[in-house]
Amino acid sequence: MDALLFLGRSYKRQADSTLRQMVAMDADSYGVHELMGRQHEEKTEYDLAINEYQAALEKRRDLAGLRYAESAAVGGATRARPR
Amino acid sequence: MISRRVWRLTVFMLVVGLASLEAAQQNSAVEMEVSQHLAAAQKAEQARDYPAASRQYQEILKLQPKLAIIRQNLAITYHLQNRYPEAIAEFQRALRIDSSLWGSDLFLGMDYYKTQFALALEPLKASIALNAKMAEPEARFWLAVTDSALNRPEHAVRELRRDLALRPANINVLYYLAKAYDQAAASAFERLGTVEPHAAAVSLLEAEHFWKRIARTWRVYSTEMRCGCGPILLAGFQPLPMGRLTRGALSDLTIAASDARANVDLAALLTGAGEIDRATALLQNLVRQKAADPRTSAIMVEASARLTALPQAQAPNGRETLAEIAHGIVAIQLGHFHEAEETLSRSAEKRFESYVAASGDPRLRGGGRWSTSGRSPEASARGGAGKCGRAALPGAQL
Repeated sequence: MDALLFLGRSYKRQADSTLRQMVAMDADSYGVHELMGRQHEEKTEYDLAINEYQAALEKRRDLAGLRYAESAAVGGATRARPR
Repeated sequence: MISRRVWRLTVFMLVVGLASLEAAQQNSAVEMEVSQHLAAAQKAEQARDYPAASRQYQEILKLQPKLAIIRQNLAITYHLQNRYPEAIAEFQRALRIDSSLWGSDLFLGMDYYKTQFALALEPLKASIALNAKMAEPEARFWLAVTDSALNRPEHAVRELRRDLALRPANINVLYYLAKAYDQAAASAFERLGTVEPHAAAVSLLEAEHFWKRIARTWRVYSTEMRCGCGPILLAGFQPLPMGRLTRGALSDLTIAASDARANVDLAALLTGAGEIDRATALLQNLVRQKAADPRTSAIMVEASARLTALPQAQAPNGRETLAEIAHGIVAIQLGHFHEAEETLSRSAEKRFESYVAASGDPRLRGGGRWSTSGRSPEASARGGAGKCGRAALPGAQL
């Protein structure tokens, strides 16, 4: 159990580390914006997530998955705001 | 970006194919006609008129059906028109005539990826075996995306690492590598929940993920606990909307009393939720267990000490070496992620196999049967459904 837990965390750390390498290489690439958007969304930072997804879509308007991600973040933001 | 890369490779293949064929041409009438069709095909390709190029290649093949390189070029023009089944058939014909055509294997793998994932692996590997220098970077990439599609993220990680070694400045390889790591993490957490849904580690993940999601509503402060734990970072909740955190939800968190980290985190969570009595009871219990080591607040040290202190007999099949896990943890602490991953993978595999054997549950065999993408860690660990098309990225920190 512990091995799986730490293995998963190790992969997670490497994902973060890889994203940092991408940022160092090209902070304005669509991939960086998409992955950053995903991170913000997980933290329920929907407005930041939407900004990142929109920046990614500026780079790659053909990516349907990004459109879905943006819609999901907008949905999350809508639910999170008090009425 | 990928299509641009593939495009460059495609053009290279077409040009090389034509050049090699032109050099081999003799001056007979048939070959003169072939040359004319070749020139027309080349012109059509330059104009990106692939249907016209296909027609020219088809004319050549009526005259000389055994020209493998022409079959390959015809297949590439099909590929460029997204006519994958026809491309696959033509690449296969080309390979039957000349099995050394590494480009046909490479594109065959790519086109199988578009249609039948499992069939993509063999030709992609064959292309590397035939011409590693030319084929390997692209083939590794397609092997990785195929592995990822087959829910074999650990394999995808390996292929992308190799690809990255070949193309260190390629941000797209990094992008897919980051996603593969995410998928591998989600897969590990999912297996965790499959093996033992009520394990402390599962609850810890849930608590951490929940913690991360509500982090913005927290104000964090450090407080000295009278119970003797030393300084423990606790967090105080701002009032949360009903439904996001309920006492009922927290009651589902079941953790082992011996799990120091999980107890500390859960106590903090409960404190923030206003369940002070439960938090105090947890911490007091923890203090009783950790009295000999009250300053062990660093999470990794706690985990490592706990693991090495566990009797070997607790391993279900007696084969798992706890020292292996401790070694993995130390490797993570030192930043040696690859070493940690190898050690922990080995250990996790042994443990998982033993559970599979013991449970007799056929769903557990073969691994990778569940799609981990689109699940939060707690959903992965508990086996619940998540959002589609998104990989889980838990907030768990070491």
